[in-house]
Amino acid sequence: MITTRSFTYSLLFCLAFLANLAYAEQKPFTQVGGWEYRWGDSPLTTNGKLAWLSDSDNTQAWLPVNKPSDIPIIPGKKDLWIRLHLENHDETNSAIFANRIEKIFEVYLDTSRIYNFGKFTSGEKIPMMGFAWHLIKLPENSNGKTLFFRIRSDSKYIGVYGKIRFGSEESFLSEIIKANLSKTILGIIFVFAGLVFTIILLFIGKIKPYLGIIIFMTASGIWTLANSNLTQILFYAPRVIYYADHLALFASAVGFFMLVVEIIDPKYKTIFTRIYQFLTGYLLVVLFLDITGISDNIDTVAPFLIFTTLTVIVLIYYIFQSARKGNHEAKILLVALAVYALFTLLDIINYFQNVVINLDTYEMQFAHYGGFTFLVFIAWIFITRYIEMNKQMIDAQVNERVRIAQDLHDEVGPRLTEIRMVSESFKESGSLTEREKIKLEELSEASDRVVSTLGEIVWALNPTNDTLEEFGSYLSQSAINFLQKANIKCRIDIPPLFPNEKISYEVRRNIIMAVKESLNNIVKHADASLVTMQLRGTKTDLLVSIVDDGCGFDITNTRKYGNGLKNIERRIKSINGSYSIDTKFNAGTRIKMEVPLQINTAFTQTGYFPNDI
Amino acid sequence: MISFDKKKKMIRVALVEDDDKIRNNLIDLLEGSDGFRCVGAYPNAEDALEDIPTKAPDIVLMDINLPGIDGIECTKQLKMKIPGLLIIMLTVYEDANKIFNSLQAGAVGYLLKLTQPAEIISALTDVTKGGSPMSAQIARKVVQSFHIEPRGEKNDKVTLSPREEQILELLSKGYLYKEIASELLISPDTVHNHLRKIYEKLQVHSRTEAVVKYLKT
Repeated sequence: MITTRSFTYSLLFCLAFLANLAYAEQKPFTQVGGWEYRWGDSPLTTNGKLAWLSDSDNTQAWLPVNKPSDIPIIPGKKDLWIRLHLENHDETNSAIFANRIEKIFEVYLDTSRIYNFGKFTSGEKIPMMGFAWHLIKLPENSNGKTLFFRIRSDSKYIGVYGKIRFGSEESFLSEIIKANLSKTILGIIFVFAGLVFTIILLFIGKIKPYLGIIIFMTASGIWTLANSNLTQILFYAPRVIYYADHLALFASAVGFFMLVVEIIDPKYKTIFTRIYQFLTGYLLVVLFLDITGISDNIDTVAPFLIFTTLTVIVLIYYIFQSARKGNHEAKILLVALAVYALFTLLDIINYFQNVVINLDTYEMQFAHYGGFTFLVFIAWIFITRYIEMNKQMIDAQVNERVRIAQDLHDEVGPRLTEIRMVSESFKESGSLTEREKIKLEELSEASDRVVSTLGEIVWALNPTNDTLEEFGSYLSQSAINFLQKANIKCRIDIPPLFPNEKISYEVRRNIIMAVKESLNNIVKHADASLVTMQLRGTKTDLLVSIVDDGCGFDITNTRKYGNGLKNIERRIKSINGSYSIDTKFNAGTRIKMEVPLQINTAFTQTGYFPNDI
Repeated sequence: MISFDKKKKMIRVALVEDDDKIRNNLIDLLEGSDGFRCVGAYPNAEDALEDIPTKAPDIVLMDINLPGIDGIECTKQLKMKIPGLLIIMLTVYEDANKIFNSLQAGAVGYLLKLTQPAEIISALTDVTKGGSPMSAQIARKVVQSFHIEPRGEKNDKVTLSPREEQILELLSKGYLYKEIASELLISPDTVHNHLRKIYEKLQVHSRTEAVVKYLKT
């Protein structure tokens, strides 16, 4: 069993490792200064070329700016041009990496177009392109030429939100892999785990309580994958990735609150049920807006973020209340949320360092890891819950067994005793024929046998008799009683005290039956005068050997002895034990049985209770 | 009546048994047997505790499983009121733990309800003569209870004599009384006397053990 502390430490270590991997050294650089921008789109010259591409166009309309991401956002603007004169350009920096450019755009080097994302067609509605990062190869001899970005968008926002950086193609690719590998792997693991859980739970038919965690897990995984720049290398479909990112974010919130409903104090269940139902509705509306393209100009994420932030605050308040009342799960949840918050805080700190201090852009990194840590905590709660539930089920089984034993004991026993007494009193009355007396005696004996068999079952059912010591002394006593009736001397070789170990119901039951069968064989066939039963117990095994001084038998004569022996062997095998018999004609018989005290009942076919402990 | 009983040395027996039919059968058996007299029959421990002291029986046949106060607790309380009373437990099943607890409470033996009527009568006669039957399983428990004892006051400690230990060990190995007698070169009656003594020690031992436990908590 992993302790809580070591578990937490190893988890934090793993995350620190992954975070370190994600923040490997970055070689490419951001060009600061020399940039110019201009609102509107270029008119066409008489021969159909874009007029702004010509060198002579050096009007005051071009405004200087440090970096493209510094260009102010002015609502209502549809077209934007950005340019940079490549002076002292190092040819080893053969590529430009740009991300978060809204939306369709082209790149020109002097008058030749070197890259495009979407197509410029005048007058038509601009289609949703999705978010993609762009690796733009620079032709040779670009030094001294001018780089133009032509951007068009009809959404509220227009501009370059990410960085435009220069570097070698390889450095960008290795950077993408380094920075996104851990995220991508985590995303794949969670999507995969979500799917596997879904399949397993569908098979078990118990999906409802775990629906929340499955949705949260899968959606978070998809969201992370959509946010990983590596995904685009493997699967280039910016629009699909954009929608996946968008919807997975909402879906993960739905899953989160479904999950909350499952684990929170029952009295708060209704409110969080309403919340996830509302969010599901919102998700469906957004889905509709996305498909129809209406959402292109509406910010569907901001209201969602405000709403969820407020509900999470309420949630934390409730959880805090539960935790104060000593709810163990609430405490774990608080820790989980605290870890989540800590990771988000790292993001915020990095945001300030990058955006506020270094005047650069920054993408959320740690929140993903935070989400996963949170999930691990939640999984932990679920696993403890599952274990607890199983324990309760086993307890319920044991209780039921005790109840059955008690009922048998209290109700059936006395009635059988009565049968015995009534038939005895009949026999005393004297007016019976010999035949009737014999029949009555048979009746008495039958009820005797039923009571003693019932006694054995009741004994075995009683969970307080599950120790090796109780079992050993019980087995000895029943052998003594049985052999005494048959007038055979019995000697018990038993240790003064057995190890304090439990022996499972199935083993007890089968050993009792096997010993009974063996003793029965001795009484019936062996003509013995002394039987010695030896019992030995270790921490894991029980050894029973029964030796008689009878006539022995020919072990190859299976027709005569086979059936009873096979029964014993079958019983011992069913509890994963071993069985051996050693006999010679006129030299007694030795039977040895060695069985484990506990067996994995999933693999046995016999026994009264399939899920014995 | 009482003087008449005494003259004929009647064995006075009281019954505590909650099952009406079994109780009536036992009353019939006792009343129909020479030398026995049933002086009281009670369906529960509460009635028995109130009435038995006034009836002064020689032997009480006590069912282990009773509604309300059980037979073991009833035995304990009766032994406190009448230390010399001989109590024999009645049980359907040979449940070693319950029987052992009864013996610790002060019972001197037990009978299975299924025992043949003639055997019940002979067992009762044996008990009044000082006999106390003991099974191998019980013998084992007795030995263990004397060995695994929490170390209490040394001077109060009851211990088994070597001979008693010997007898218990042989019993737990499956020896019958007569086999024990011939093994140890003593008479079967001596074996019985030893067993009775062991029962008494067991009761005292369990009492001091209870005191030790009480003082510890």
